[in-house]
Parts: sequence; structure tokens; C-alpha cells
Amino acid sequence: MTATSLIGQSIVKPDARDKALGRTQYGVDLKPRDALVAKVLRSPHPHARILRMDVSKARQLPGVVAVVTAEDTPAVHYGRWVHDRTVFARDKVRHVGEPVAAVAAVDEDTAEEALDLISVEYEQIPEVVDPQSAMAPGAPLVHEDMASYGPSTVRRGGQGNILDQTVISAGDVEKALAQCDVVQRQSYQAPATHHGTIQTHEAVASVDATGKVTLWSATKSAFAVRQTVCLALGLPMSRLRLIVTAMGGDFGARGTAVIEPIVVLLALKTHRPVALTLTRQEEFTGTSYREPAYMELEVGAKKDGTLLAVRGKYTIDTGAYHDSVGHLRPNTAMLVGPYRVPNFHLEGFVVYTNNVPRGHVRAPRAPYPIFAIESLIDAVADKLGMDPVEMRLKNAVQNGDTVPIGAVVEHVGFTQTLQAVSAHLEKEGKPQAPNQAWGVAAGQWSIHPIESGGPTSAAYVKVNEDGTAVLVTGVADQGAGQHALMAQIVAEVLSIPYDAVSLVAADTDLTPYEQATGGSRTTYRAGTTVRLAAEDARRQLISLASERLKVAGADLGMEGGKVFSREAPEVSVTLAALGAASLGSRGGPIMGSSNAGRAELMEAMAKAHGTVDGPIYCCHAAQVEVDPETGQVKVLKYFVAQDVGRALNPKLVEAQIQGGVVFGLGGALTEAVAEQQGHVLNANLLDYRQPVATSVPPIEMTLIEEPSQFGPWGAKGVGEPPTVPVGAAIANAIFRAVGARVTTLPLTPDRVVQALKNRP
Amino acid sequence: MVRFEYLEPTSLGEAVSLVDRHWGQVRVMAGGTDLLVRLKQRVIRPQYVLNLKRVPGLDGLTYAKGQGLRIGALTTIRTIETSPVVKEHYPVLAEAAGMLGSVQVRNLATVGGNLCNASPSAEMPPGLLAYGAQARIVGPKGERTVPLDQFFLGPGQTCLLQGDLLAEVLVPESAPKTAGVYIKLSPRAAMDCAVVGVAAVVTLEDGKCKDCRIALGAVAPTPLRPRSAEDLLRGKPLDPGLRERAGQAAMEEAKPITDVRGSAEYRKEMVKVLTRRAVQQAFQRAMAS
Ligand SMILES: Cc1cc2nc3c(=O)[nH]c(=O)nc-3n(C[C@H](O)[C@H](O)[C@H](O)COP(=O)(O)OP(=O)(O)OC[C@H]3O[C@@H](n4cnc5c(N)ncnc54)[C@H](O)[C@@H]3O)c2cc1C
Repeated sequence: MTATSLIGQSIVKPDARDKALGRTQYGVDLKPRDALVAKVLRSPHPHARILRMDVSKARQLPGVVAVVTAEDTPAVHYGRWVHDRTVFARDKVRHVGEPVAAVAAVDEDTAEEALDLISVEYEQIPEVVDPQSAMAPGAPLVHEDMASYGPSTVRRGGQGNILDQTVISAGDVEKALAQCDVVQRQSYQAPATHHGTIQTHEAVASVDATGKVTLWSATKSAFAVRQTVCLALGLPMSRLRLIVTAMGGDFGARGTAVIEPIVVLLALKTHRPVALTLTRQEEFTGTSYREPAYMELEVGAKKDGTLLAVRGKYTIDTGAYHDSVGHLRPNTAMLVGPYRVPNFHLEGFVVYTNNVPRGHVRAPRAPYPIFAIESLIDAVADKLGMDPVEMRLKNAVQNGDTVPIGAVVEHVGFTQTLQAVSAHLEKEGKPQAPNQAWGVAAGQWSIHPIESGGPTSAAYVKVNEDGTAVLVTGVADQGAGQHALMAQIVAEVLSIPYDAVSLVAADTDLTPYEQATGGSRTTYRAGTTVRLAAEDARRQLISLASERLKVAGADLGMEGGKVFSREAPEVSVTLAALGAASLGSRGGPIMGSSNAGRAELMEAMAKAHGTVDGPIYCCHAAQVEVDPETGQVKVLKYFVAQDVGRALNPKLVEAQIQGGVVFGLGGALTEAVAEQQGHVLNANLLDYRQPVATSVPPIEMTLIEEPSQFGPWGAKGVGEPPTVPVGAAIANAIFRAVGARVTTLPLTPDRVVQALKNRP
Repeated sequence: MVRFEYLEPTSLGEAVSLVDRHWGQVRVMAGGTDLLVRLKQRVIRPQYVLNLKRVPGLDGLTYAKGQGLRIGALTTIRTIETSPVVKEHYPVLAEAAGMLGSVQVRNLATVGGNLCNASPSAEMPPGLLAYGAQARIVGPKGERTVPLDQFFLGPGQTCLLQGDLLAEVLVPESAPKTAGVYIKLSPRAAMDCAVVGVAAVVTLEDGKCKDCRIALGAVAPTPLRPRSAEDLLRGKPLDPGLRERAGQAAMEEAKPITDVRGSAEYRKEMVKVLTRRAVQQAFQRAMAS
């Protein structure tokens, strides 16, 4: 790093201005003039056999160009992870909203009319809508015959409706619990929640005369979506190019092929461009989102607050299809929280039901187990008369600890986050007003070994003849500023101004492979690859400069757009001159490349003996006011301490933390998809209540910078952890304010009033 | 959206005759904030949509001392929220209007639409009921005036007959020493429908409650006046014990359902709490007036 380093500078992300001014072009804005409009016919039933389907009337409607059903697709099952679905339901529907047919027509009204003309005869069969019933012997099976889904179907540990199950244990829980001075036991529940992105899913596909399809989609996983579409439709990858368009929010919604197979199929059928935009209602039945979860937990501690044992069970309702990377072991291990616990026995289950499919939402599967353990730890602290932060400090996971999944955590800044919260609460003092209090909760993210993530990426850095550079990367920017950050990394390595780097991104034919913009891994992992590619370009520049200046490479420096001799700085050559000269040089144009980000991380980790891949820790504190008569909870103040490793761009980090907290506030207080026998009762943003501006308190934060060994300049992931502990922080604050423990999310007024009545 | 024929009458007479002629197949549109959502979701599929906005004389507020306030059916919620006259003489209406949806919605939404949509949780009925408002209805056989508490028949159902349109809402002049309040309970601070809404308007005389009207939203198939609670309070000093009993009485009259916005038990309990609070706040404001 140099005196003029860009690392740690809050560079404004380049898309901010257009977004603020409403100029950003989204997929719908790019719709070709002659595009057909697609609409999807969806199942009205949670579980039914399709006895008969007649699309002839729809086909005859003037303006309808194509109607497609399961008959128009290859007989394969696909999915991004578990291959359990088909483009259209074949013999039976497994959830309300499952696609049954699709129409392409000259306009939306005609397409909708055509849907009305498709007749489907269903025979309803009994549905299972909660995992407990689905696990019971004799329960109706959601997937009767997964074995027939083909060799690529990953059936995980389970039987019947159980897709996956796991047990993790250490020590002797029974014995340890008997030795504890305090044992607390509690069940917790949390509902399905939705991303609620402002932009609904949209995609446009177009076919040229050679049969090559171009697909424009607002996805964060261009390559995975291409692969899934090709699998679903039997297309070679060379025939499908996916170009990522601007995303109006992701929060986990844009990692899998949701509508893309349908749009591509219709474009191939009609040889016309086809556009499909989901309605808000379809967002709630035709996508996948956070799984409801059930947690049973027992925690035992000694008088001095030392945690001795945790027994837990974690059951997830994955709906009719499984749209999750779903590392059940690390997910289940979340039940012990970020603590040293010598004895534990944890069970985890993933269960199919006839609910809408479940998938990723910001910090997949972390908030609910953390809600359980952080609520219960708080109860134990209260029972012991111990300060809740001190209780956590006493048991906090430390550098070099082996965590329940059996890997080691390093560069752990957890204790510092707890200390920061302690200091903040000291400064704030106890609220004097009645029914007000602070509550705290800790959180963690990315506690799994590197093998599980498959974090592959590559990047090119091209140096132009004028000394500016172009970064070519598969990274998609879902609004969090990833592109700004990648450019910042290149500019730093080449010592050129930030705006001298331009970017080509997320196009499956043009840019190299990238796994996804997700898991809080982009800066951490793709950033490493981009750094290595920029360093490769730098090496080539130095080598060319060495030839021209007749100075050994090791004696050359690079700064301010120049390569110069360290001994005699006036001996120098500009990057522009090098860029131009490279065109005629033996080595040809300068193009740095790397696909070694993963290799570098794995090597480093192998050396560090099976280390957890970039663990992140945080602690939150919320001040609430509770109206004990109506149960209404107002969040007055919020504080976050998070270990970010190194804040490469502090403004972006702050924005991620603020956004993450707001997202968490929704899940804590108001958001729940209301489901009844597989039907969604609140498929709109009026009754699915996300926070509004007035719901958000002032959010303060302290960034802890305990550098990671692996991320660029010590950076760790940022975006998901701030969502994780919010529910527990507020639940704990409610308890401290009025003595009521709410154990079901969200913490609605109704439940607060109920809990107040159940107060001992 | 479904295909429909768009009608745009330019007089009230023409509007009434069109609605009469196409009764059962026509939907009247004012601000469209309820109607368009349902049209787009294909919940309703009318053959005709009749836009009222070009009909003159249905818009605006007029206040005359001693006679009260006339609110044209097309008056927007935003107009009511911001009108100095309403704020001075009927503050409960301005208060309620300010809690409906968002500014963007309030700029489009009309009072007529809010009443005719007849949602049990609608924002404007409780305040209007508490002020003793009446509805002026114009139809093929002429016009009639109906007390607002006879206007609502059930969710989405009003007393409007074939060809009828709501033309105006009439709000009588309040007696001296009258004040009121509207309390809306909703989980989200804005852009939310009421889980329970309570309006109370109290008139004092010699420190006692001379008259009192309470109206509840979202706790029965229609907005509701809990008469037994009002009867308890009338003629008495509004002490805390009495207010508590009024809350209890209101609760006993409420017949809420459980839906995605709240459970029946919770709603019932909140009627008690909020009625007590509303009466207390109205009382305090009236004392100060
Ligand atoms: C995002 C959002 C938030 C909302 N929040 C709230 C809220 O917090 N509280 C609340 O109460 N409402 C809320 N609403 C509902 C709606 O905005 C109100 O009910 C509004 O007052 C309806 O008025 P409008 O003019 O838009 O009615 P329209 O949609 O035009 O009409 C509604 C109904 O009334 C009929 N109608 C309208 N005018 C007449 C007339 N003069 N004579 C006969 N029939 C007529 C129509 O045929 C239709 O059936 C919300 C709506 C949205 C979209």
C-alpha cells in the first residue's frame, strides 16, 4: 500500500447517481419492440393430480403465439442444487403457484385471457403443510419417487419427506446437564419470509437465425442460471448467452433459475423475443424464500456463567422444492451460537411439504437458530443475574478454537465486538423511561469449511494504450457496490485513479466464470481473484518497463501512473507508454488474468489445518419501548459492532450494515408470509409488512478490523451478518423492558400481549 | 388487466343513468386506489368502468357556520388531511386522513371511495360516524340522505341501490366544548391497514359528558357504534373507572374476526384498551377547548 492508497476510501459507487435519478435501465426497459409477453398458468392447489389438460382454446385465441406445457420440455429434473423440479408440473402439482403452462402473446391482456382458456382438471390429494406431520409415518409423500429423477438428483440424508438430516455431537450432554447450576429449555418458531425486492423477477429472451439464444436476466448467478436452463431444456451451453441486467434488489431472490427456463423455451418456440415479468402475487407463490423453522433448545451453565451443554433440534420446512445450497451441518451447528460449548448434541432435519418452495433469503438459515440460542442465552444470563454481555464474553469463541463442525476459526474479532457493545451501553446508560430497555444479541456467519463453498472465479485485467484499464469479471452487482469495489481493487494494485478502471461484467459468453454474488463472499473471494489478475497485469507492466528502462524488475516501483526506478525516480515510463508499447512487443497487449483465487485461499487454509472459511462475528444492541397494553414495540436506537476484517470502502460497509439491520427489523417485528394449508394469504406488500422509513431507528456502529488472513487486504464478508441477530436483540430488549419472552417470530403486538399474560 | 369499456360521463345525471343501465356490469371509479388493484388482480371483471372524475360538483369541501361541513364524494383524502377548516372544526377527520396509506395514495384516494368500498377497516368511517355524518345519495329516483350508521351493510356492501351514487357526506356542526380523537392500531407505522381503529367524540357540559359518540373500525363486518359504551358515558363525569367500563362495554359489542392482520382475541382486547384511551384523550382535549 502506498501513501495514496485507495484502500479504506469511501469511493462513491458509479451506479448510485443513475439510480438516484431514476435513469438505470432495468430488464423491462430493454424489452425489444416486437417482444411477446409471457404469462404463466399456476396451480391453485397445494397437492393435486393433473388428470387432464386442454390448451386448444388458448392456442386459438387471436394474438396468442405459443402455449407450452410439460410436453414441450425434456423429461429431466433440474435445480441449482437438488434436482427435484421440472419446468412445468407433469403428473401432479406440489404447491400452490407451481407452473402448469405458459403462454406467449402479443400483449399482456391477451396472454392473461389465454390463461383463462386453458382448462386443467385436477384431482386434489391430501397435502402436508408442516414438517412435523410430513415426518410422521404414513404422511402423504410430496415426492413419491425421487430415485427416478435421474442420476444428477442429489438425495441427501433422508427418507420419505425428509430430504436431509444430520446429527452433530460432542462430549456427554446428559452428564453435563446434570452438573449445571442452571438449565433452561425452550421451543422457538419462525415463519417463511420473503425478499420483497422492489423489482419483481423479470427476464427477456431472444433467438437469432442460427438458433442462438440471448437471455437478459436480473440474476446474480449468471453461470449457474445458464447451466440450469441448459439442463432443463437440453441446450448446449454454446447456444445460450446470459447477460445480467440491473438488479432492483436481490436479498437472495436472484440466485437460481426462476422464470428463465420458461422465457427461453417460449423464445425458442416462437422465434420472437419474449419477456416475462412476475406480478407481486406471483413473487409470493412462484419463487422461493426463507424456510420456516422450528427450534427446540436446552442450555445448561455453571453458576459463574460458563456454558457446559447445549441440546438442540432444528427442523426446516423446505416446501415442495429445495432451492437452497443447504449445508445442513453448519446450519444446525448455529444452534450453539458463537460460543465455546464442550458438550452438545444437535439434530437437523430438512423436510418437504406442500408449501411454496423455500430458498435463499439474506443470510440463509442463520437468523432462526441464532434467534433461538441468543434468546435462551439471555434467559440463562437473567436467571444467573449476570450481565448479558458479560455472559457472552465469558463463553465467546476465540482464535484457534475448533467449532462444532470440526474446523478451526482464526482471526476472530468476536470479543472485540462484545466489548464495543459493552462500551456503547455504558455510554448510553440505562433508559429511565418506563417500559424501555436495551437488549443484546450476537451473531455469526459463514461458519463452514472452504470445501463446501465451491468458490470458483476468474478475472482479466486489460491495460489500455493510454494506461487506463478494463476489468473483465463474472461478478454481478446486485446494488451493494461490488463493481465499485472490484474496480477499486484493480486501481489500487495498478496505482491508477479509480475512474481509470472500467468494467465488463456478468455475461456468460464474454466474462469468465463466477459462482455467484452471494454468501457475503464477493469481496472476500472474487476480490482475491481480481487482485491476483491485477497483480498479473502489474507484473507484465513491470517486466516490460524493465526491458525498456534497463532496470531490474525488483528495483522498479509503480505509482501515479508510472513505473520508475526506486534508486533514480527520474528514470521512469508512464503506464500509457507501456500500454501502447505492449501492442508491438513480443508479449503482446497486456492482459493480466487469474483463476487462482480459490487455489490461494485453499492453500492458505490447508496450511492453517482445516480452517473455517472466513468466519464473521458481530454483536447488536437494540433499545426498545414497549406499550404493555397494546404490545406495540418501538425500536428507539440500534447499535452494531461487527468484525469486518478491513473496511475497504467504509461507506459501502456502513450501507450494508444499515441495510442488513433494516432487513432484520422486518423479520423481527412485522414480516411473515401468512400460509394456510399451502395457500399464501398475504401475497402483497400491504399485508406482507416490510419496514417503512418510519420504522427505522438511528443505527450506529463500530467497525472492528481484525484482519482476515485470506481476504484482500484483510477484508471479510459484510452483507449478511447484520441481518442475523436482529430478532434476538429485539426479543431480548422486550424482555428487559417488560419481562415478557416472545419465542415466535415475528414479535407481533399480539404475541407480546400474550407473552405478558404468561409472565411468571 | 381485463378488457372493459371505459365510460366518462360529464354530468351527475348521465353518470346515474349509465350506472343504472349497466348495473351489475359496471364499476364506478373515483381515485381507483381500491378498484384498480382489484381489476389488475382480476378479482373483479366488469364490462364497464365508469370514471366519476369528470362529473362536476362532486369535489371539494364547503363549511358554513351553524350548518356544518359538506364533503364532495370526490374530495381526496389528502385535501381532508391538509384542509385548515377540517383541522379546526373536525380535527378527527384530518387526523384519520393523515393515517391512510401514504401521501401518494392519499393524493388519489377519495372519501367517496373509502366509504363505498365499505372495508371494515377503512380509515374515514369511524371519525365520520363519531361526528354523526350523513350520506347524500343520488339515484335514478332522485336523492336521499342516509345517516352514515345505516350506510354500511357488510364488507364491500352498502345501502346503495341500482343506479345510486354517493354524492356528498354531510357533517353537522359540533356543539361547543366538543373534541375527539382517532386512534389507529397497526403493526407498521405507516402504509398499513388498521387492526383496530377507534374514534371518539365527546361534548362536555359542566365537566360532565353531555354527549359522546364512539365508532370502531376493523372489529365487525361494518364500522360499528358501541352504543352501550356511549350510554354508559352520557351524562356522567368521565372518571377513569367509567372510562374503563366503557372500554369493557365496547369490547363486548365488537365482533372481530381473525385474519392476516390480527387475531379476533387480540382485536377484542384492543377495543377495550383503545376505547378507554380514545375517550380519555377526547375528554382531555375537550377540557382544553
Ligand atoms: C397502498 C395502499 C394503501 C392503502 N392504505 C389504506 C389505509 O391505510 N386505510 C384505508 O382506509 N384505506 C387504504 N387503502 C385503500 C384505499 O386507498 C381507500 O379505501 C381509498 O379511500 C379509496 O378511494 P378511491 O377514490 O381510490 O376509490 P376507488 O378505488 O375509485 O373506488 C373504491 C370503491 O368505491 C366505489 N365508489 C367510489 N366512489 C363512489 C361513489 N361516489 N359512489 C358510488 N361508489 C363509489 C367504487 O366503485 C369502488 O367499488 C389503501 C390502498 C392502497 C393501494
